[in-house]
Amino acid sequence: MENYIYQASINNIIVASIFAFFAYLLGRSSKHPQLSYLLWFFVIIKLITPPIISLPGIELSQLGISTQQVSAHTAQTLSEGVAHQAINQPPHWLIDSNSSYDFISWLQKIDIISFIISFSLLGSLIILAHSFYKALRFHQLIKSEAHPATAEIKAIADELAQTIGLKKTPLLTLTTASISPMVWWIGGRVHVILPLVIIDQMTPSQWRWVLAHELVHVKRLDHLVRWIEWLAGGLWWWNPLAWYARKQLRIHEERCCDNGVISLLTTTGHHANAPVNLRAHNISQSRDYAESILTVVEKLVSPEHRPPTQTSQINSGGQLELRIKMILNPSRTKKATKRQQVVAIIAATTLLPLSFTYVKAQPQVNSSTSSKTNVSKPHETSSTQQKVTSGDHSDIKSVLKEILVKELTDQEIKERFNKYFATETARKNQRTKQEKKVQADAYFDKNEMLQLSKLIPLHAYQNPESQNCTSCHKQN
Amino acid sequence: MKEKPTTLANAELTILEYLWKSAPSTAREIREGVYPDQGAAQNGTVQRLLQRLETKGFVTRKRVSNVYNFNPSLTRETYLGNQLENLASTLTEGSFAPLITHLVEKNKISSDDIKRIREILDQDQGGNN
Repeated sequence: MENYIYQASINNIIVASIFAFFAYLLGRSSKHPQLSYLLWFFVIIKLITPPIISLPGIELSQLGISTQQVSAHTAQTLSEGVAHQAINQPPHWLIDSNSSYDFISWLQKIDIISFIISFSLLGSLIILAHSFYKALRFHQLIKSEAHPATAEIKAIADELAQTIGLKKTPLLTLTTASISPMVWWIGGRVHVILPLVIIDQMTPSQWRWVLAHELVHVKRLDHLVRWIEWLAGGLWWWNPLAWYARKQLRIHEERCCDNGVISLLTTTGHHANAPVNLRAHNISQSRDYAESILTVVEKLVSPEHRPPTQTSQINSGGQLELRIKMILNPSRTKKATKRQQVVAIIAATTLLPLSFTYVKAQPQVNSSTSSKTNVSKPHETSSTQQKVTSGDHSDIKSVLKEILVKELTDQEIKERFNKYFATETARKNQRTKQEKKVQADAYFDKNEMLQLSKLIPLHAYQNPESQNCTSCHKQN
Repeated sequence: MKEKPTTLANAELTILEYLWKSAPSTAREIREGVYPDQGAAQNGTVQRLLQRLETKGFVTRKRVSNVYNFNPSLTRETYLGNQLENLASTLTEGSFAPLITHLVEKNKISSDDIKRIREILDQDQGGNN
């Protein structure tokens, strides 16, 4: 499982990086926001979808990365240490369970890759759970604080929704909070949230543009993309590629939305062949739209709260400024043709399930080494130094039960254990010590092992030739 | 400068909820309304909560005929709106809760940025006129 997660992660990063490279090149010109958006969307999708089809491509070890080598080395270190203990000490289940390893021994036994994967997954779980909880709180607040929209606002919203092509007008929510107009969805109906300050201080012809912008977001299903983005951001919380991809996705999404508002709500496009007065009208409408966005920003944050220039981030206002420029000159951007979009989608969906990396199958580990890895066996003694032989596998409890019920001789007991260990060794080569311990605990609890030890004396199969054992239950 | 709104503890919010319904009220009336079955034992609790609310600026008091009347200093909608704004700011600016599609990220726009963008619009209008 760990190897699969590791392999899938490496593959996803490679494929997502390829998409991101082309998306970055395309996005630099700012002329193809739709295609740029599609490519960045595929970057996000690739980060969260597993590879399905393997290509004979790059072997992980060629990248200088190998989980198998790490595991084998760890296993060998572990097995040598355990074999040494097995020869010279009683079985570990007879040793006080509170005995501690020194720090260096502990470090040597950690599988670094497993640790990284576990840490990453734990972080994802915490982040996703915490952010979802905050989203639920936000939703509760929205519901409790919502003011119903007036009939005038609803009528304008219905008219815009029809023009844009929405089957159903989203739920309009007005709020006293000075928050940005937004689209919000957490199941059920989509909410379009508008701050009351905008309705109060802007004319209907101004806030109409703002409402249109949010409705175009709903039309584009951007509220669904938010959840995909949320999942990718949570799973890849440590990955700068994910951070950058999400930021670029938002930037291009807003540009697409602005283009959508202008193209849907102006009479015709801004093409050079349009009549002059019509072009002038459309330019005037684009300017009104840009003005509305800027007014929203000015109204939302009162002057004393606006941060000074020194505290602005490098691109703060940069995207808004670029958006305003794009809105004023919509002919600078090219809308992707249907063919371009279809080609992009087909190319991306073809590449999405492919895996370019794989883990080469490792040769079976030497039997003399593997025979030393059975730390979980409670009756492990010098019998584990025997070579691996093929034998019948049976559950350890069944083996013990058979021993107790059938009154086997010492030699027969020894052979039963040897067969079981031989079969188990081959299956347990790749397991870490922790997994073996967990399995041992699952098989036996300490009391059960102590009880068994009373019934099957330790020396009974350490020295099968011994005939003088008076406490052995095999004696007559 | 406007104080940053704070979140109230549940007990404080309960007092405030009562005042939103029944203001102006004396401390005794509040205690009888919020802790109806507990008698004078909760007088101290209600006094402490009212003091905290007053310190935080959520409640004002006025002396009327030897008793103090308490009033909420903001409406329920304003309080909830502030809570929503705080949570929205956290959600929209937080890296791990990108669940909102919003028009602008307002907190990142400086005065100079707005001024520069305004000039762009004015120049565009001048060019088209």
